Amino acid sequence: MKSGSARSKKLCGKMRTFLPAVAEQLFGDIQKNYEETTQIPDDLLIALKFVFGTCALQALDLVDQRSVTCLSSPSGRKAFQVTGGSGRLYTCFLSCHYCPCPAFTYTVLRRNQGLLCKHILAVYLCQAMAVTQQESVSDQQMSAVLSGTEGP
Amino acid sequence: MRSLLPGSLPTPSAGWDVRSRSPPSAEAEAGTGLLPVLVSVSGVEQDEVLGQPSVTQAGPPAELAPQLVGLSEPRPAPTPPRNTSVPGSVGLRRTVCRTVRHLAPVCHLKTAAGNLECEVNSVWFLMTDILTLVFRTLSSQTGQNKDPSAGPPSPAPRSSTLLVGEHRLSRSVLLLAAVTAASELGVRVAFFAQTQIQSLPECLQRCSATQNPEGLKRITFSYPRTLEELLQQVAGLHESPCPPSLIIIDRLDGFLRGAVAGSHVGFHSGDESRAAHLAALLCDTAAFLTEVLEKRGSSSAPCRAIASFLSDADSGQESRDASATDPVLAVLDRYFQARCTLDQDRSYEAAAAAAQEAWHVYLSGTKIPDDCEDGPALAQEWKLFIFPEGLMEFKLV
Repeated sequence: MKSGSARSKKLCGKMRTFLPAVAEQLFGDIQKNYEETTQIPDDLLIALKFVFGTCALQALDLVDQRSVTCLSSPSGRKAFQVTGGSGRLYTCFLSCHYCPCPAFTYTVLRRNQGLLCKHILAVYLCQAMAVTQQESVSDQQMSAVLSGTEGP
Repeated sequence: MRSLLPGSLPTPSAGWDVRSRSPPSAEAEAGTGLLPVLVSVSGVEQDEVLGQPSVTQAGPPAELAPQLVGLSEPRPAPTPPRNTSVPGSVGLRRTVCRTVRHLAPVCHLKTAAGNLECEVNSVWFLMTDILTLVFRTLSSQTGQNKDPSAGPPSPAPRSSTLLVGEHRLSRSVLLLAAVTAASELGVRVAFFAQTQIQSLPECLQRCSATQNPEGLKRITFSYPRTLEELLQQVAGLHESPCPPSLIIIDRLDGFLRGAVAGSHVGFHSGDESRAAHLAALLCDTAAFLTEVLEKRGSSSAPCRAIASFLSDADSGQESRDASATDPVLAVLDRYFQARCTLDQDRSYEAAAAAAQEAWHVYLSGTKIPDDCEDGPALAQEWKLFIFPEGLMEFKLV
């Protein structure tokens, strides 16, 4: 669990610079509690809902479904892939917030009304809970995933 | 890296323009690394503005051919393809630079070492510390200390910068940044452009840096034709055994607005999403390459990114409300830590200085986590004078 915690901190460290302090603290608390009890207490779930709104429950559903995978290639490059409710794959980056889903484009980018979408939130939660799936791909496959030109 | 949170992100509509800020304090920290900048450029082509005919040559001028060959990596074939989708496989092909031909062909530049007498065109390839270095070296000969280390210290380095301003200056500036980084700092540069670079600005042609083929071979030119190709090439940089320390993309707007809706497989159509994907990929790639360079103990770390962008507001689209924020620019601002704004001074200041043109150069950026808690956010203002004979001078305001 400690190694998972360390990995979690490293992979999420760069992304966390995009979070407000309250959200960063919340993920830290979730991580700590989950490491100790394998549960997220109700007060943290309420805080999660308060900070992130409706996408919090949707993200927790994705976590329950183990929908987040960390892809890694021989070069050391990594990326997250989240399986959406429809089965579609969404690629998110390690060091900054981006998701190709319509909710991110509309709510975050265009309307500036949200911090992130459920897919990015699911990444944070899976990393905090150390339940991210791991998958190795080739360097060429990684390039295709990052550029969004991978096949269906 | 700067937070993307709306609350902490100064949006353009909220007064992002550094012109509203006070002049930089003398306590601004000096930077030592390379600071990328996104250069955004007004949409009117220089030739259109000045009525100069476009000059296109079939091949490089003879006097430049040896230098150009030296610039290429690998050595170019006699009739190289116009574009390539393979990262790092295209060198400089032709020599005519129509966008800057009439512009100040000569400016005086001295490096920090003081041994480079070079005439350089406008310089705003904002890697903010390189930018500051170049501005200082191009400072007035009469009014300021020639010592590049004099004056306010460079702002803290930031990994990505966005330049918004006059388009006709952007490519020459980016080229100057590339040449300076490759020759003077010895770092590898990946330069992406949609249209081929056919010549170096004249000022660079006389520069001793361009006469150092070994240094210039560190620049890899790529000409992706579409946004998809650009994404593939940037995404593929992690595969390179010798990763670049500086990633330059000329005219993001050309790539973003040329994308056909729906042709981007697996992503939501729309300018904002495409811009966010490209900017995020650029920043994530720079972050990854920084890790790689640091692990190798390379002095070239960190990896920086510079991109030029032409906003709709500056492109002369009369139908667009001048007060409206460019949505693509707003998205890009989320990912780029610093911005350099180029604004032409249309008052009599140029005439008063016996210059052909005068420009305001504003450097701005939010504080990054590594910044001193009490330090100011990045904010610098320079004045650029372009003289008829090509001489260019920067003055710190």
